[in-house]
Amino acid sequence: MKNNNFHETIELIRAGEEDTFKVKEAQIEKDYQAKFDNQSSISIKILTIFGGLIATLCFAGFIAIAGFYENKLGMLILGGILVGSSIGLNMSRHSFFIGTLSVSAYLLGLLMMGFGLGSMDNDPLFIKLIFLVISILTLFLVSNYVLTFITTALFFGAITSILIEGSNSFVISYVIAGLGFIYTCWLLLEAKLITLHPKIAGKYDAIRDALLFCLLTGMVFLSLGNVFYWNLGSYYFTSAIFLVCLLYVVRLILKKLEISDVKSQGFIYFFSLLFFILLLPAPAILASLLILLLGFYYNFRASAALGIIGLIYFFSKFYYDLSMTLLYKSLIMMAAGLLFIGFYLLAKKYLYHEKI
Amino acid sequence: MEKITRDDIQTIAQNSNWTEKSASKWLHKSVYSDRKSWINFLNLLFIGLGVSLFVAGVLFFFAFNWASLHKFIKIGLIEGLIIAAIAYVYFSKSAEIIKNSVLTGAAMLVGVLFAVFGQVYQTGANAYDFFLGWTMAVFVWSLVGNFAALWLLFIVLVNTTLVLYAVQISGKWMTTNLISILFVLNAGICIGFHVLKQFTTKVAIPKWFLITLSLATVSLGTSSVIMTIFSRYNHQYSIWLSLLPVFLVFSLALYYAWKAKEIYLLAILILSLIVIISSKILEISTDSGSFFSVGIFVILAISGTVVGLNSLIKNSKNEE
Repeated sequence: MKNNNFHETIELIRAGEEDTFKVKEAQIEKDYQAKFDNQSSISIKILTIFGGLIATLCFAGFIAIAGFYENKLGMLILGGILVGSSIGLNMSRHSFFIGTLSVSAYLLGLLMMGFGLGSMDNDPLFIKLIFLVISILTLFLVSNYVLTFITTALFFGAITSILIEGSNSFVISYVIAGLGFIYTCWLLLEAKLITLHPKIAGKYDAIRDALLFCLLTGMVFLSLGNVFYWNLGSYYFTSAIFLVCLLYVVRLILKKLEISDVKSQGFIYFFSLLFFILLLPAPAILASLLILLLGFYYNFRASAALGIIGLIYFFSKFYYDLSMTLLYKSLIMMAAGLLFIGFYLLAKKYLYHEKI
Repeated sequence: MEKITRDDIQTIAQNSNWTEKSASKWLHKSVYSDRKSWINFLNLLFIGLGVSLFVAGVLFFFAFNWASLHKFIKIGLIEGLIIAAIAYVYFSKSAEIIKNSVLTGAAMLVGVLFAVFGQVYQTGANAYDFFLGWTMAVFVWSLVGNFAALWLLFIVLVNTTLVLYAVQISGKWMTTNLISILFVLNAGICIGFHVLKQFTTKVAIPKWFLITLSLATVSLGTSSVIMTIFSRYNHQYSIWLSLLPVFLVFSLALYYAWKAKEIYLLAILILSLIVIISSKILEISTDSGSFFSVGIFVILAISGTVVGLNSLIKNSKNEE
């Protein structure tokens, strides 16, 4: 049992620290016990989200059939009470039962508030701002994984729809660029964020997962292309942001591989840049590559796996959509393939010779 | 001493005055990928991307000139590729995973060969014949390959052949019956692999493969029961044909999942049961009361399940 070994873990860490290092051992023991009591797995999290969604849909059906939606103020008030009580329950109790219950109550509350506010002829921007404020408040107050995940997704959903309001829908590509940048920073600054405040440390994983989810959802929209009216400038802006993030990740990898001589570094930066520039017309491919490399670097397996799936999907989609003859497509692919085989041979010569 | 995990680091960071520098040092030391993993990963990434892009490029090149190629070249080219792939698998001393990946690629090329054959000779082969031929041709490779991705391809082919037979040749099967037959077929395969995993270590059965099979089987079982619930033209025999196998297989699976503490299997089975019971309530009545009852039922059932699964994980960890 892990919580029997936490003293060893603390002692090991303490050995490398200065005397000023202070640990609340009793609280850590409590936290380990709470984690042990609330064992979770990915299956349980998915079950909670699916269950919450099914229950919410059923209650929405109940409200629609019973005609409650005609009482606009009632819907708004009841929705508010549900959202408020689910936040309150989460703050006061940390049990699985409460967790699952609060997810359903929260989603239903949001739905009812949306119904209520929408049917009162409110300005759509006002409604979106209300949801943005709710998401920020919830994010500060709750610690439950599923609620934090949902709230982060709601926050970015609200931001996107506010930005789209009254302007062209290509603005979404700026949001995706922003998401890519925030996701990179979130992983990059892990140590800083978890030591900044205990509440951030507790929500770090949920926010990271939600950022990845939002980014991937955005990329699927981006790759559909014809759904929105695309502005070429915004398209390249998105790619440029991913390119900058990727170059920074290349720098991190070089550091990890202990490649320090300027000539090798220059060579790697030059070819990486060339490759990324060739991919500028395909921001979704650049983003998948970023998700894959970040996932591997920070040992975040879901990100690495989704990066590989994204890479295969967006590469296929890009070549399928490309308005070129098959001959050009084939030549580009063969050239890219040879380039990578070349990279492989170089890596094998310079890195693998050490017989690690 | 167990390895320090990300979770440990987060817990200590929450309850100490740990500096960013020290936390970062431990994350790099115990959690993030090290230099050795990076070298292996980059090698795999480069060779994987290089070979797949180059092969795709070659295929696109032939596709461009396809119309002007002689039929001998068209078929010969694909057969040549298959022979080269099999020769590589047979004679090469590469790692098993690479040889198995090549074998799976060859199994896919067999499908391309059948399609080209049909196109060149206008054999009138409809899709059913095509998939049946493909399935039979790769059967032996799937047996000897000992590779999950190849089994998955084979299972998809068997299912596709059966569906196309029902649609194109038989034409008389009701959709509910077809789904039931697909359920029985996939349940058989799924149980077979679970049993194999218990009794032998010679066959490498990865977890993702079992999860995929279980998900497919449970989805088919759920669809079969829901379609029977909502179908208006059910004969007594077809109701039993769909309900009895699902009841038997789900009972067996629940017992096994509980005993073996397979949380994912328990979770999908219970979710399926919740969906089935909710469907039955809504089939009886679709008034507001039914929707309300289903909502309450789902919340209670999911919460109860989560609490139950939580204590199951706890017990199994205590036993460790």
